Amino acid sequence: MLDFCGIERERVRARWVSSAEAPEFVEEINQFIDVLKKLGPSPLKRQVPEMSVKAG
Amino acid sequence: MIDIVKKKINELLDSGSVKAVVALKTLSGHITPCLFHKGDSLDDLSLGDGKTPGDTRYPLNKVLCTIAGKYPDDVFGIIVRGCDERGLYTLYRLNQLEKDKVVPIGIPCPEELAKACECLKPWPDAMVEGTGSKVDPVSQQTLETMDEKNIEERFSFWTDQFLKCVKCYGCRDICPMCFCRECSLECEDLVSKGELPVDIPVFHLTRAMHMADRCIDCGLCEQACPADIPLRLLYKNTARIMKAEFGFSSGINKNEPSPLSLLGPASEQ
Repeated sequence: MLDFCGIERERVRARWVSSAEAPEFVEEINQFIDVLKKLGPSPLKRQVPEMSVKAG
Repeated sequence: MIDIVKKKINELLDSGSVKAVVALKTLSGHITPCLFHKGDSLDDLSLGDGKTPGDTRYPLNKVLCTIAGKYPDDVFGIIVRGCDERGLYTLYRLNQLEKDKVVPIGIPCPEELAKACECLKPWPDAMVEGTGSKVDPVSQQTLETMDEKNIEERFSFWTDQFLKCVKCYGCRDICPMCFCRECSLECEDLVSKGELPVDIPVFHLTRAMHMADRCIDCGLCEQACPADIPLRLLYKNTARIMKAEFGFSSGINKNEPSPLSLLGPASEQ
């Protein structure tokens, strides 16, 4: 669905890692960070924030 | 066609096999939902054909759910198109209606309407004999058009669309498949009250995910949307994913359970 809406699917990850598998967890996160750094800031950050309005 | 439907309604009411029939009628020039009882005049019965066939539709399933909730022991008839019947099947599956308390009176959609809806099944299974013939399912051209866009184009397209949202909740309120008493879209931890624009794309994707095994592609949400957001296209994509991943289409097969309601391999259930 994200891909359909124009957001790179690489930005979301779901992995199952056991609490006994710390090295796998670290590796996963580091790898994810590398991917995200390559992708750069989310396109959503560039949305027009000045359009925000608050009720009341 | 309408005379055949009237005849069928009278048959059902006269034989006492249904208590009343949920349908539409023309009232002071407007088409509106109506509950027809035995002896009521069917002169003003409408099939929702305003200027073009089927352009005036209501979530009659939703009306039926309300009535059936108050009169759980009675059997009601209801006029259905293909999408309405898919809705009935889905409401049976989700325990909102009882199968043996509903008598669907089915009418097929004309080609013009099927094309406008890109409907995958523009006819109900319970079609009343003589009301017309089934027209072919229509391919999902708008989805293909979206697929041809690149990721930046898709992003700007949907961002522009979602920015128009005024958070009126019309899409949810009209939806015959939306019946939860507590709605995630009103949970203040997820959706900030009174703020615009909505959280993009979280607001609309939350609804899309919740509709994943429910949406029967009736398109009432898109019709109701005052901002003309192509919601139907969004949910058509959810439906496409459900079909590709699980081989499931909401409301197409009467007794098919949803893959999202199964834990573990389906064969073990």
